[in-house]
Amino acid sequence: MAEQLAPDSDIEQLVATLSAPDADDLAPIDTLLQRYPDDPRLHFMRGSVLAGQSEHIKAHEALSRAVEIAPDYAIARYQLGFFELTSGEADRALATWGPLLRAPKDNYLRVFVEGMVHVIRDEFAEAIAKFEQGITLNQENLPMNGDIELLMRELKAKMDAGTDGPGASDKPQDDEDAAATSATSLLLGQLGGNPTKH
Amino acid sequence: MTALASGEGMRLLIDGEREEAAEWRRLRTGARRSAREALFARYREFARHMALREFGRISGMGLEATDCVHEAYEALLVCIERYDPDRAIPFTGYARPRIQGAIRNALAKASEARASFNARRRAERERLASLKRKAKAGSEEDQMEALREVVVGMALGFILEDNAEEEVHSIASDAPSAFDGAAWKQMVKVLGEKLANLPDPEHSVMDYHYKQGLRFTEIASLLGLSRGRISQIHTKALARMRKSIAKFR
Repeated sequence: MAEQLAPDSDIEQLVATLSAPDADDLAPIDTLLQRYPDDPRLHFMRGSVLAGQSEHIKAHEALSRAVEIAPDYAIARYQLGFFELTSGEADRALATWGPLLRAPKDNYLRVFVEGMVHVIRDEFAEAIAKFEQGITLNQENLPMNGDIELLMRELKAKMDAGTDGPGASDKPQDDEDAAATSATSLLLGQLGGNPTKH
Repeated sequence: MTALASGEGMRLLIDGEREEAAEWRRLRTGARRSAREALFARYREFARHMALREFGRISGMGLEATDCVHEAYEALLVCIERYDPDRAIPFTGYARPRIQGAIRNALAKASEARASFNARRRAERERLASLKRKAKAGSEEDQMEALREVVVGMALGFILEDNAEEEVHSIASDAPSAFDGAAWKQMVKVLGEKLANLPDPEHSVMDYHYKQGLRFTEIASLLGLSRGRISQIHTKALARMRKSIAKFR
């Protein structure tokens, strides 16, 4: 099955290309995908770039394909679930995240998911506690910590404003901007972590 | 948005563009009915605004404003079905000329024919037709019972309409006693609760028809069912509500 995966050197080069400041071109990904159509990392990268381009339907399709090919590709599964959550599909996100909740208790993705579940329930204090725990555990994906911290700030602001819980409304514009930033930026910079292929 | 996604936490997380994209995605590949309803709700005001603007431009041509709005709704539903979200053009850009065209066509036709009935009468006819189907040939007693059902069903329909609240107040004030007025108000309140607790798809049909003013054909498109089926569901829902409030009669 190894021939289905692009060589690591190609992936590293692709990551370097996509990390350029204004790089949002799908072309280098698609070129590699023609040779390695079943490499989940390429589909994941494609989904990330498409999300950055606001091609949300195609982004979801690409991320879903990555998880379909490699169900144990944890970071792709986490990001697909987060993409669905930010699309208003909480039930679907929870279904996507389900396998991550079977990971060990000290797995940072599992802990982040547990935090997100608390956010869905408007349990902001519990969510923040989980996010803090996840940030401590996460030493391999530091950009994700930054995004989680951004979300934590929003949650704390809500709590400080006394609008924690159902019935609160009228989100300030700053919050919307921050939430949007969090929603779109989380997908990028997550290209590490090898997919588990069986 | 799903049933779970209704709190402040979800509002913090949801990206509006992604949410709409998810609705289009589900319309193509998943839960079509809920996606269609969500998209209709998202663009309904857009269509209504266009209809009223067109009506303002060309009024007095045989159509009422309500007719224009319903023409816009029907065109909107068609646009939702036909729109390809992969195209670069946004939905409003795609739908605007089509809805506008549908309204202008309807205005032109109405001007020629001088349509003699309005949306309310059409809605009443739809309701009556759905109720009359139950009044099949039988004994005189059966037919009287069927007629009673039709009358009670129509009365329930009037009460449920959006403007019923105002009518209720005037009826209550003319009532012979304070008790009658209170009883009437209580019945209206109970009816509202019964409607809210109807099982789906009865609840959807009744809510769309009486609370949101959609015609059976529009509800049929929205829910992906035939117009005849909507009529059946409407009849069933009215019968269920009639039984629930039997103690008031």
